[in-house]
Amino acid sequence: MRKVTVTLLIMASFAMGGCYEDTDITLHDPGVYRGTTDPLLAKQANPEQQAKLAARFLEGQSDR
Amino acid sequence: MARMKFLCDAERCIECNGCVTACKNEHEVPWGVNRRRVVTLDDGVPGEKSISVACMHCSDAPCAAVCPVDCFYTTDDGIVLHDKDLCIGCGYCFYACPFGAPQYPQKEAFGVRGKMDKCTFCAGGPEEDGSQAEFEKYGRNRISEGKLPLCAEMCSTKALLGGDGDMVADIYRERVLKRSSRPQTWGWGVAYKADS
Amino acid sequence: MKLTKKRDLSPDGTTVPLKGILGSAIDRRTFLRRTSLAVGGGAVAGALQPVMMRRAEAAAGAAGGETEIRKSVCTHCSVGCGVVAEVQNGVWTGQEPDFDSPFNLGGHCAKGASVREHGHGERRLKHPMKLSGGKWKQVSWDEAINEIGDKVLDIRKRSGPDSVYWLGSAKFNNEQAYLFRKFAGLWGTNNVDHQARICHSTTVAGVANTWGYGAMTNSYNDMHNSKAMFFIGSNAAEAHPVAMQHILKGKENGAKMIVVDPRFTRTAAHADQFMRIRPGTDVPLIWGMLYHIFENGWEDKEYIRQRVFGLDEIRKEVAKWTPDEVERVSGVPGDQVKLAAQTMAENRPGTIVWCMGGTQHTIGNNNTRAYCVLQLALGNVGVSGGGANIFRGHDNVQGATDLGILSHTLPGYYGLAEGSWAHWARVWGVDFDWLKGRFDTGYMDTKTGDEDGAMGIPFANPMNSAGIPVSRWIDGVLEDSRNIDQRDNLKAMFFWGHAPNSQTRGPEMKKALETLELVVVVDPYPTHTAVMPDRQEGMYLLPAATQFETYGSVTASNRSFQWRDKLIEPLFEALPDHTIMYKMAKKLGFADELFKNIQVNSADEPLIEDILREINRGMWTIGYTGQSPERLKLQLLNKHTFNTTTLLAEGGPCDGEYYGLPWPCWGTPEMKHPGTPILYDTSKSVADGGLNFRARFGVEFEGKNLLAEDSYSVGAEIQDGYPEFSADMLKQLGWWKDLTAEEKAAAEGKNWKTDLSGGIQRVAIAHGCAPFGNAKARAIVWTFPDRVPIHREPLYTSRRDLVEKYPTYEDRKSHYRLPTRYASIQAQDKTSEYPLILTSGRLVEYEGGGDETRSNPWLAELQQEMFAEIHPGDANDTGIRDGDWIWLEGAEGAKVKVRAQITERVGRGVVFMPFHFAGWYEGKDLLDKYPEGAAPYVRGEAANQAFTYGYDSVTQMQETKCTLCKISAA
Repeated sequence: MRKVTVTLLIMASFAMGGCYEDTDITLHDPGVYRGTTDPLLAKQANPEQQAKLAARFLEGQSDR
Repeated sequence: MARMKFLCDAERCIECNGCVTACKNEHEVPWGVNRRRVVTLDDGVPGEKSISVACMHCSDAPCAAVCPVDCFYTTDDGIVLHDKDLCIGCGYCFYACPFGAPQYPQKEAFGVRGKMDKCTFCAGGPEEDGSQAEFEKYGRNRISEGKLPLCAEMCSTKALLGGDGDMVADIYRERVLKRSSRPQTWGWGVAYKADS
Repeated sequence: MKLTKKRDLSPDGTTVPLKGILGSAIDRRTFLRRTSLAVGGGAVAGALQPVMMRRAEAAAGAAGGETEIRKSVCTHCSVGCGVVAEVQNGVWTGQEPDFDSPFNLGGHCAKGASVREHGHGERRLKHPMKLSGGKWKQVSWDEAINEIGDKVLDIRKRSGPDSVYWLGSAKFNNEQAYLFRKFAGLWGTNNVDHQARICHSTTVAGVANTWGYGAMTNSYNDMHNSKAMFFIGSNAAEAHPVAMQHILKGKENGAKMIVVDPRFTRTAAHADQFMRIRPGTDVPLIWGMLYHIFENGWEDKEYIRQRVFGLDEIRKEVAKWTPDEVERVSGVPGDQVKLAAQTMAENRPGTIVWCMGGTQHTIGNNNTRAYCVLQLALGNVGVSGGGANIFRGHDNVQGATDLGILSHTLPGYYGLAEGSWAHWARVWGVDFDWLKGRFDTGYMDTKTGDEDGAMGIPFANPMNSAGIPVSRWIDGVLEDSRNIDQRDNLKAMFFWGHAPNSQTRGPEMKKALETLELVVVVDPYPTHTAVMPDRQEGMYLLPAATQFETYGSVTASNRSFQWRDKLIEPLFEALPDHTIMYKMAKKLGFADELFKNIQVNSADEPLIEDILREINRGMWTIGYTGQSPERLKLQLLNKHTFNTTTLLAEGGPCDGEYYGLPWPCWGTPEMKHPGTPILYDTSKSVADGGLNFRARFGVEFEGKNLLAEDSYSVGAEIQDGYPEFSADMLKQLGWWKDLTAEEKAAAEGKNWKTDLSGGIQRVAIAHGCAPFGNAKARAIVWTFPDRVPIHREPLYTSRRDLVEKYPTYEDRKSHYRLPTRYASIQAQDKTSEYPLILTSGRLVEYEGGGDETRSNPWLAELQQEMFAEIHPGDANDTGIRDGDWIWLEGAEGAKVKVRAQITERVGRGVVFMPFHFAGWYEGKDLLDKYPEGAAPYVRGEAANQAFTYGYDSVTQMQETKCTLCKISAA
C-alpha cells in the first residue's frame, strides 16, 4: 500500500512539473557569429553608401 | 544610421507576383524555393487583401537567436544575412521564424533539407561582393552596387517598398494622408469601428 | 544548443532568480512553448511538392566583360512597360527596373519581371522541324522554306491563293505587322488575320462606328485624373497589372471605382462598388444605368446637343429597361444599378474600361456601342480623366490592328475597296493591275452554286471582300466548299505567332488540323498546334526570334509608340519574323515587289527603319505618319523628361511632345506634330494634340445634321462642324494657295487620306481644323444589324424564359465568306443536360495561348495545374471537393479534365476557366508529341476546347464569355 502511495506521489509530482508557468520575461542573447566576414558590413557602415541607397530609393520608389 | 525594412502596402497589392518573379530572376532561385511569397487573405470574397512577405530582417531576429551553429549576422543597417557554409540545414530557424522566410531547396524526394536559403535583401552573403561565388550561393548583391532589392524596385503598383525604414514610412504616411478622405486603409474599420 | 539565458526580468523590469522545477538552463520545452511555429509559408509548401522538378540551371553570368545597358519594351501586354537589360558578352545577365519610363516607372508584373528568361530559352523551339512519319525531324532553314514554298505554290495552282491562310500575330512589332499584311496582299488573298479578331474586334467596330476611331481614347496615366472609374468585363489586376498603378493612384486621388463582373475578381477587391452580372447581359445593365440618368436629367444636355447624334432613339430603348427588367435579365439588384448610375453622374469626368468580358459575345458590337453611348450621355468623351479606356491585350495588338493584319481591311483601316488598294499600290510602288492579277477573281465565273449547297447569293470578289477570320478558320477547312465564298477550302495554314487554343470548338479544330494538307508554325515555341492533331506529315515548325532578339517600334494601348533596341542575338537557329518573311517571299516569287523600297542586308534581314518610313508614307488615316524612327529613338533616350500624368515632355530634347507621339500624329515627321494624347479633346488646338469627333458617316442622315454644332477644337477657323478635308474643299475655303507647289501636285484630286505629300493635313491643321472633319458622334449605327444596341440572349443561354423576348439573330448564309448560324443553335434547349454557365478569363502569371509563359520556370511554378473555379453550392450539388479532378463537358460534348477549385469568387451557377493552358487533350498529356526539349514545363487542358459556336454579328468575334457546361467527378 505504501509503495503504491509513494509511486503515485512521484508520478503526481512529475505530472505537476508540467503545470509550471513562468510569467517572467526572459531575454535570450544569441551566440556570436562564427562564419566568414562579409565585406558588405564595412561598406554599409559608410555614410556615402547610405546616401547612395537613399537616393536610389527616391529615384525608384517614391510616388512620382 | 538607416534601418532597412520592407513594407507592403496592402491597399495597393494586387497579387501580381511581380516581386516573387523579380527575386527568382535576379538570383536564379531554383524551382521549389520562394524567397518571397504573396499571401492573400479572404481570397475571392469582399475584403480580399494581399500582402507580399519575405524575410522581414527583424531587429531581434529569432532565426539568429536559435541557430545552433550561429551562422547569422546583421549589418549595421539591419539586414539579416547568414553563412551557408556553416549552415547544417537543421530547420530551427524555420521553426523560429514567424514568416516562414527560411527555405530549403529540395535535394531528394523525401524532403531532405539542403542549406537554408532566404531573402537577403539583395545583399548577398559573406563572400566577396559581386563575385561568382557569392552569386552562386546567395544570389546577386545589389546593395553593394548602391541598388535596392529588386522585388521592391519592380513592384507593379509600388505596393512593396524596400529601403530605409524612415523613408519607407514617409511614403506610406503620404499615401495614408492622401487616402484619408476614404477610410479604407486596412484595419481602419477595426480600429475606429467605422461603417464600411 | 548555443542559446544561453542571460537574465530573467520580472514584470517591473528587475531581475529575479530563475524559477523552475527542472533546473537553471533554458530547456527545450520552455523554448517551444514560447515560440510560435511558422505559419503557412515557403519551406513546408516546398517540401510538399508532389512533382519532382529538376533544378533549373542558373545561367552563370559571364564573368567579366563590359556590362552594356540596352532598353526594350515588355512583350506581354499593351501597357508597354519599359525593360532595361544588362548584357555582357552578348548574354543577357541582368534585368533592371526602367524607372524612367512614364508607363511603369520601373514596375513589372510577374511576366514583365521574368522576361530575362527569354535569354535562357531552355524550352524554346531551337531548330526548324519537320513532321515525318509522326516524329519530329530537324531540318535546315533552306530545306524547310523550299519544301513549304513548293507545297504552297502547288496548292495555289490547284485551289487558288485563297486556300492558303496567313494567320499573323499581335506580337509582331509594327514593321513586321505591316510587312505581313503587305505580304498577304501581294500573295493575293485576304485570308489574313490575327488575335485582335478574337480580342477587341467588336470594340474597334463598335467604337469606330460611333465616333471615328476605335482605339483607347485617353491613356492609363490619364486615369490619375478620373473622378469615377467604371470597369465592365475587365480584370485589370490580372490582365493589366501595371495599369493598376495608375488606377490606384486615381483612386487615391479620390476616384470612385465600380467593377462589374460575373466573378469577384482581384480588381473587384479594390473597388468601391461591385456588381455581379450574369454573363452576356451587359446591354441591360448599361441601359439600366442610363434609365436612371435620363430619368433624373443627369445627362449632359449641352454636350449632347453639340456633339451627339441619335440619342433620342436610344432613349426609347432605354425606357424599356426598368429596374425590375434589368434585375430579371442581368441579376443585378436595382439599388446597385441606381447607385452606380448616380456615382457616374455625380463624379465626372468618369472613365469606362472594358475588355474581353464585354467584347467576346455574339452581340459584342452592341455592348461596345452601349458603353460609348453611356459616356456620350454623360459628356465624358474628349476630356482628361474621362473617355473610353479600352485596355488592349497583347503588346502590339494595337499596332497589328492599325497596320491591318485583318481579313476585312488594309493597313490604316482603309478597307478593301478598289480605291484603297489603289492607294496602297501607289505607296508600295507596285502596278495596280499586277496586284489585281494576284487575286483569284476568276473563281467567280467558274464556281457554280449547287442545288444542295447553293449560297443563293452572288459570289464575292476575293480582292474586295473580307476574308475568313481567325475565329472561323476551322470552318474554312471543314465546311462544304460549295458553301464558302471562295474557290475552295483552306488547304494550308500558317500559324505565324498565333496559338490555336485561343479559338473555340476543340474537337472540330483537331479534325481541321488533321485535314489541312500543310500546317506551318512560325513561333519561338511549338504551341498547341504542334501537338494537338494526330498527323504523320505535312507539318513544319520554324523557330522565330522574340522581340528581344530584334528591334523596331511597338504601339501601346494608349496609341503611343515605343522603340525597342535589340538586346541579344537570336537564340539557337531562330530568325526574326521579317527575315523569315523575306525568305518566304523570295521562294514564292514576290520578294522584289515586297521589298521594293526596303533595303535587305546580306543576312536576308530587311531594314526596319525603311519599313517604318514606308508606313509613315502611307498611313494617313490614323496619323501613323509623324512617328519617324529618328523621333522615336530620341524619345527612347529621354523617357525621364515626360510628365507621368500628362505624358508631355517639359523641356529637354523632346520638349512639347507627348510620350510615344500617340496617333494621330498628323502630317509628315518634318511637321513635328506632338501626337494626340487624348482623343476628341476640343480644349486644345489640333496642332497641340487636340481633336474632335470624326466626320465619317456623311454630313446628314434622315434629314438631320450629322456635323458638330457650336463645338470645335481651340483655334479652329471654322467655328462649327465641317466635313472631312479634300483638295476640292481646300479650294472652296480658299486655302489651296497655302500648299507648296510639290504638295499641290500630289494633292490634286485627293483627300486627307490619299494625299501622299501630307499637304492637305498640314494646311487644315495650320488653320486649326481637324483633317478628318468635325462631326457628332452617333449613338445609332444604321449599317449594323442592330441600329440601336439591344440585348440578345447568348446562343447557349441558361435562361430559356428570355429567349422569346430577346432572341438572337437569324442564321446568315454568308458572312466573312462562311455560313454563320444563330437562331438554329439557340433553338436547342441544352439547359437540362448542361445546367451551368461557363466563362473564361485570364491569370496574371500567363499570357495568351500560354506556351511562352508556361515555358518560363519562374512563372510556371506559380500556376502548375489547369483548373476550374466552381462555387461551393455547385460543387456540393455534384459531389465535388476542392482539388478533385473533374471532367468539364461543354454544351457540344467536348470534354476537358481539370482540377476543381472551390471558391466563392464565382457566383452560383457559373464556372470559370483560365484559357492559357495547352498541351493536353481530353485528359491525356501530350508531352511526347512535343519536339525534344521544347515542351512547356506546365501543360494542361485548353479551356477553349469546351467552348462552343457563336460569333459576333459584325466582326465574327467568338462568344467565349458565356456558354453552358456540366461538371462531374473524374
